[in-house]
Amino acid sequence: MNETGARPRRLELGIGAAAAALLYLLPTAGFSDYVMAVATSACAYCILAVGLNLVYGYTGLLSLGQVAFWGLGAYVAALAAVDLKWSIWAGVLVGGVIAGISGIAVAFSSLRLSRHAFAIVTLIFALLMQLIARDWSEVTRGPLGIPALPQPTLDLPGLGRFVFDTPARYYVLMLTLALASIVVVYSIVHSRIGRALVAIRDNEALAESQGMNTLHYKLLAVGVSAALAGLAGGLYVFHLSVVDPSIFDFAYTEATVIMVIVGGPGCFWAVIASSIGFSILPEALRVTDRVRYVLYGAILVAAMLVMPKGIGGLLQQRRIAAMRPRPGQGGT
Amino acid sequence: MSAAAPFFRVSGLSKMFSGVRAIDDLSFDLERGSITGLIGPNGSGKSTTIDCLSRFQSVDNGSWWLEGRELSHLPRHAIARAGMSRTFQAVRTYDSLSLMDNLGLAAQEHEGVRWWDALVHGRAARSADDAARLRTAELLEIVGLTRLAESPAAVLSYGQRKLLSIAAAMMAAPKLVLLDEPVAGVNPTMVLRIEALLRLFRDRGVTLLLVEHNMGFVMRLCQRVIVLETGRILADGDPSAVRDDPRVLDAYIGRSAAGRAA
Repeated sequence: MNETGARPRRLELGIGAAAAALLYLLPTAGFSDYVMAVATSACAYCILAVGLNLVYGYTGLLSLGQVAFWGLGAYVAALAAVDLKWSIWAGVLVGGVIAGISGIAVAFSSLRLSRHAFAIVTLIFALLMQLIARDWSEVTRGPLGIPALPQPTLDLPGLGRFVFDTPARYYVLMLTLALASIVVVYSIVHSRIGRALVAIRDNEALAESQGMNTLHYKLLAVGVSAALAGLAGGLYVFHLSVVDPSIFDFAYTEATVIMVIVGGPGCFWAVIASSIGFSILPEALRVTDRVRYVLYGAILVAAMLVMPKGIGGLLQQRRIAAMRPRPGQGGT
Repeated sequence: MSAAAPFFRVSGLSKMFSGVRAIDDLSFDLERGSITGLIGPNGSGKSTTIDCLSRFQSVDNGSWWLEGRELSHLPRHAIARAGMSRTFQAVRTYDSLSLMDNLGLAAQEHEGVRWWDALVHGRAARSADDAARLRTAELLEIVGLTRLAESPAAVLSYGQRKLLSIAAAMMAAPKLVLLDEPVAGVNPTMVLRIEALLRLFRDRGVTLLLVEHNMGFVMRLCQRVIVLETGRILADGDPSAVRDDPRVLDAYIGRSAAGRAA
């Protein structure tokens, strides 16, 4: 369907599993803490991008509020761990659930109007969340945020206590969540539900005329995407060890949107590759010091000029062109 | 509606656009298994009627029933699930999806597969997929697009997209299909193919109500023609009677020209 067409799915999953195994071996390669921290951040971005791709790429709804759900998950997990003394895992889970429910609420209120309203309302929701985080000091501790967050620990029966106290260990944790997110979104987009989401993106009126309750599907996509962002934010914040209003920085949204657009909206693997690439790129350009953001911008502009539909879109266009019947082959 | 209710009934349908009455107290019945043409000059309210009946336009007044079940208060998707599907004047397909998926989607919401089963591709989903695949293969064979089954709809010509959209409208075994200009903009060969296709569906028990400007097509295909003018029924009867009705000639080509023709 869509990107994959009739391509054997087993091969796709086999390559994915092999890549996942290699990624788990990364900490054994002796990379520095800095590299592992960048890899951890790439995993977090990957979750955000996969979630945004579900909403924007597959369903056609531009969400400018992914950072709101990410930050909401982060604050809920942090407050649950610090104020309520919950386990970090429970806090992260509840953060994901609350983010998902918030996503559905935001989508329900705006999608009854239009897709444009959805984009604007999600953006406003993100700004509102940042204001709340800054000004509701009794709960959020205001601009200073909540410092000294605990480190996640895992008690493995027979193996003792495992503390995620180094970037390499945290990377394994974020990678696991990233892979779980990839599996969830892959299952959705390759199911009848995913086919319905693409139908809504391609032609919503037609989908409705065929009996599809499009609002339900859109709420599902937004809810899953927001929950994933909330889970990612909730887990990542313990890596940062502090949460403050900058967790709602628009830069997170901007970076995620860039990853999806350059990867190709609706192209599953290309967006994952793009999220990894664009997480590493700003760090790789550090060698150029002050011009790194100029170079980053130049690369973006070049990518949009050469591939206006993204990397995946370019490949898809070529595949469609190859399938188009040539003159004399029929076609009415 | 009584037990002896007609197959499809429209009663008192009205719609205004900024003070202009597009449909004015329109009422008619349709017989099961019939093909009815809804014709009239531009602006007479034909497409608006289809849009209103399928709830793609809000209505000011009126009710309609399919097999005695009132549809007028239902949302669009529920109307389709009740057995009334439609095609659009500007042909619509899911361009990035294969022809198989285009047709599969048209039946998807009528198969009763729960979302969890759909997600894990459980038994109900697999069984529904198998049934849909058979029907899809059959429909693609009928419309002559089997060769392109796995291609995205974006590769199709305009005429082929028309065929696909009609096949999609038939995919969920509807009771009634509203067709908005099914042959507009297609070549004469394709007109004949679409005509044969619609006859086939009629023979399988599907009732058709079509809006069309191609009079030859309407006169050959329809058993009954309803002529609209300014949102009201001007004439209603079999094609030959309607064709010879001076009021219809007048509406189409103008009073003085009709007089000269007589």
